[in-house]
Amino acid sequence: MSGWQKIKQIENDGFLFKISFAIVLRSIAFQYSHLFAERVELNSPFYSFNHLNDGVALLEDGFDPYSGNDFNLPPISLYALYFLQKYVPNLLPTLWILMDISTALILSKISGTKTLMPFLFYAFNPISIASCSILSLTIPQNLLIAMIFWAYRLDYSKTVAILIGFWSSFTLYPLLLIFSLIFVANHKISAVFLAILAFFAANLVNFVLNEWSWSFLDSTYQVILNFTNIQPNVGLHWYFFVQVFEHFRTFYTSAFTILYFFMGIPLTLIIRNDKEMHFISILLLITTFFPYPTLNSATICLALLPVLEKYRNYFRYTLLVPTTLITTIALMPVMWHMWIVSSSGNANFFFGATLTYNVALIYLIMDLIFVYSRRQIDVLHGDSIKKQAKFGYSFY
Amino acid sequence: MNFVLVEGGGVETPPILRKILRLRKIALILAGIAAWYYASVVLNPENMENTRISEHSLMPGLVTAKFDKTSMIAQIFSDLSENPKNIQKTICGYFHKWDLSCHSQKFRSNVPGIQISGENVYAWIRGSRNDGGEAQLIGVKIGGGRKKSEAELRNLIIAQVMAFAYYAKDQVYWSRDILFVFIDATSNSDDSTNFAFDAFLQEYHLTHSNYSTPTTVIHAEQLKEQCGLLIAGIVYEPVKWPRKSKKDTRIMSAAMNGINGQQANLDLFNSAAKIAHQKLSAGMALFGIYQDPHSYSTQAWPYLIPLRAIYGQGFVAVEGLHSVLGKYSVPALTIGLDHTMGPENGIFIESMCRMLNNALERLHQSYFMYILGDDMHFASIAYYLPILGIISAPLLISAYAEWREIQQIRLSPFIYIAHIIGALQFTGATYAYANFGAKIFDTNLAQLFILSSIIPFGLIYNFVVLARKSAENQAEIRFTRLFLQLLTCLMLGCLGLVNFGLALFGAIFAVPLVFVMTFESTSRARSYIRTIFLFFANPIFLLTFSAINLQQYLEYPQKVGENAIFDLNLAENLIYRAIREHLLFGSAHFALFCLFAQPVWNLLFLTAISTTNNEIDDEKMKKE
Repeated sequence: MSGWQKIKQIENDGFLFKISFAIVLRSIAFQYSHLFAERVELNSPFYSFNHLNDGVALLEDGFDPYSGNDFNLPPISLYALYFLQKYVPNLLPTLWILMDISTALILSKISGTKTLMPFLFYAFNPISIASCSILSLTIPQNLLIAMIFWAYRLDYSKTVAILIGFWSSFTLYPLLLIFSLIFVANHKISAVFLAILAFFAANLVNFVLNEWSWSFLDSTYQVILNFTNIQPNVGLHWYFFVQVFEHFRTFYTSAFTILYFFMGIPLTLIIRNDKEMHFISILLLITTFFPYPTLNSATICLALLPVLEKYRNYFRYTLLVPTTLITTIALMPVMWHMWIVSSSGNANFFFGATLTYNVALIYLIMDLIFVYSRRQIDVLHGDSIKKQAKFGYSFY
Repeated sequence: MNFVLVEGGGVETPPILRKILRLRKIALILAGIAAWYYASVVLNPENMENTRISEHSLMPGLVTAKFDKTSMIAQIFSDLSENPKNIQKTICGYFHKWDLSCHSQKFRSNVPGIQISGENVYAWIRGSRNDGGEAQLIGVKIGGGRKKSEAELRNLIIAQVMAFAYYAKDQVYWSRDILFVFIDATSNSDDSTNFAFDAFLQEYHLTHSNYSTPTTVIHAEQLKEQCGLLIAGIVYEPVKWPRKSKKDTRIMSAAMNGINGQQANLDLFNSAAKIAHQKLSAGMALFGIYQDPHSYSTQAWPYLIPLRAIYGQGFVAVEGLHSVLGKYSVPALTIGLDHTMGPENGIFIESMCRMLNNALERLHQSYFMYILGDDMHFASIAYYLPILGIISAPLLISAYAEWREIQQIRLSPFIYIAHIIGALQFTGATYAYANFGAKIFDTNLAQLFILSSIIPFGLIYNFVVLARKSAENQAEIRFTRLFLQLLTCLMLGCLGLVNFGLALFGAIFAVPLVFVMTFESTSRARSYIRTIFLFFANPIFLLTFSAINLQQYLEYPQKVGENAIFDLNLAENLIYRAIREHLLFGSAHFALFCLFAQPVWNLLFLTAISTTNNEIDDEKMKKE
């Protein structure tokens, strides 16, 4: 099929209309960005554009952005925004829309020509639209994830390793994806080393940009590992560390961190034969257990689920998980209103909604493990299954 | 735990869910009966909890009050009556004479559709033990009054409050500042008075409220003196209801409903009721009724106060000046004082001030959601919220049944279109009203809005786009059914947490409507009949019908008609009121109407007119 025919085909599918509509929606959302700019569901210290802007302002005024506790992003992002604001300040909204639409397009590319579900799930998701309008840093992150997954499917092990290392230099938690690298590198350990090397290389760049100083490490990585910034967000950690007694703090931070980084091992032992499934499961783990997430962190994971089309009939919580996610997302502003505005609720209300939201994501991960195992039974023992056969979990 | 495997993937459905699905056809009736019975138990004041002051720090309200400036009341009242056009100056004159600071604040509206202007007065008693961090507020209306007697009553209440100020300035125990706000009510319109108070509060908080639109509606002078957090506010006015019960109990009144379902803290109301009982031997009338908590059998229907409470919370966006304080998260009450109790009123005001003076922290969140049965009984949210859950249950069962039948997820574009139409109605109407007022090019804005709201866009979409019976269209309709059932449940659930009254009345209409309109119909005639019924069940029609008949039945806040089914003038007034309250006070009624009620009504046409094919048709479509 020639290039022109391909374009005609796209036009016939109404794809161009969908892209245009997605752009229009984002452009309209920019007009109403004041409604979302202060929402804790869409902002966190690691993804807030305002935080990044504050850091740039400090830099311009000759102060060290890392001398205080409010700036948590690495110098690369600081200087990237500094140059963007200096040379193309009016193009930031356009750039963000472009990045978001590119993410959706890559997702559609990943899904192939048969279905546009990942594109639709992402491009018309109200959360990604609202996040784009407030210039959330989850937008470039989602683009990066889409690119990594694309390269991952095409078995570009070196590209994937470098991108994972680079992404990990921002929020540390994506390092867990090195478990997925085992699948693309044909079970060779070299790609893992490459990812770690990329991670250190990115930090070296940060070190140089930060005027040959490691001062950024405390504000970027230690804040993640020690959960010291306990402002409300949609994650699991803030409320726990608000409540915990100070003398137990070290124990719990260690337990949380160790638990997270070890979760990749059993997951890799179970999901051995499906690299996409493994990648998406790990991505969901990163989203769920990162201490400072926003709702948009999960958007891309959910948009990638249609890639697992072959497991469609095996899912158990097809109604429970989506409705719980939607309900809790709708309840979050309600609970926030009750806590902060009308005083008829307290922090438990908001945390209740966020906790249930995370439980739904964890149920989704559990279901992914289940459907994988259940399908393995059909693949390996399909002929010998009898009526009323029972199924229990075990390592096989 | 072991799962039973099913051929083709997945595991077997738990038997309990299959049993629940069998009840689907009668779920609506069962839920209705269950909700009715449960509500009749929990909303009966005899089964409710006793009110109590849960914070010990509020007890100083019950110590012996020593107000002794009764003679000052007559003097101030006389001066106010002699200078009806210079009330502001008279008030400030007194405060200055007492060496207390007093200022005025002018304000006006920025919105062409709303023509309001006026002048408030505010005065301070600075607490000698205060660090300037917190204050309590006392509000009183000044000026106006439709009759001479009403104006005199207002002046009397002003005089009583000012006499208290004269007394309070010499006391040494104030650990919070006392802020007196005399709110301009010259125009005799509730909206204007509420606007006047909002103008003061907006400048006091140096911000626009959490609800207000980005356009600044209010233009007001900056305040010349400030303090910090307002711990609570009490607005005093003449009692509106009969002042004596059959047993010759003195009656005061209390109102506590705020904007968007907010309520004053129950401790605040309890303290006021306890002070009235113990010190004044008076009872508190609620929503226009005084119910003696000790003898229900001899009095009015016991459910009337809870029902009026629910109705008022749901539909009366701004009940009084205390509602405006709710915008700024300040718990507040409006207390109706019996003007004949001059010295006792001074004692009451002193007791309330001493109570709030001693509060250790913000009033506790546990007591913001309740339904009062009378001034000594209440039901908390844990008891009354299940009513909403029971009513909504049939939709959840239907949603589960639909989900089991769905083969293909196909989101209807009309879901977007319906919501976009609603959003356009909302933004268009508010913009037009804010910028041009009630008339646009000699056309009535409300009539235009009603016209746009009764067009069944869903029906048009159905005939134009879904006319051909294909598998895709059937899938689209089936998913729309599920969407509507879940959307309605979600909306009612979220709304119920914030504004139970509105959610309950909404559920009474929405749940049966959505249930019936989304139930599979195998008969074409049945589909047409229910579509015609749906057309007449337009949200505007239902709203007007409720306004006439519920107010007629509950007689609250006032009667608006006599057994009518529909009244166009009333519908127009309701729309204007909703837009005005949205623009002025951030009420969410208009937004909910446009963004949820209207789209759901439009979407219901897709499912109402559709018929479920028999097996032969299904097979045909599969072949397609």
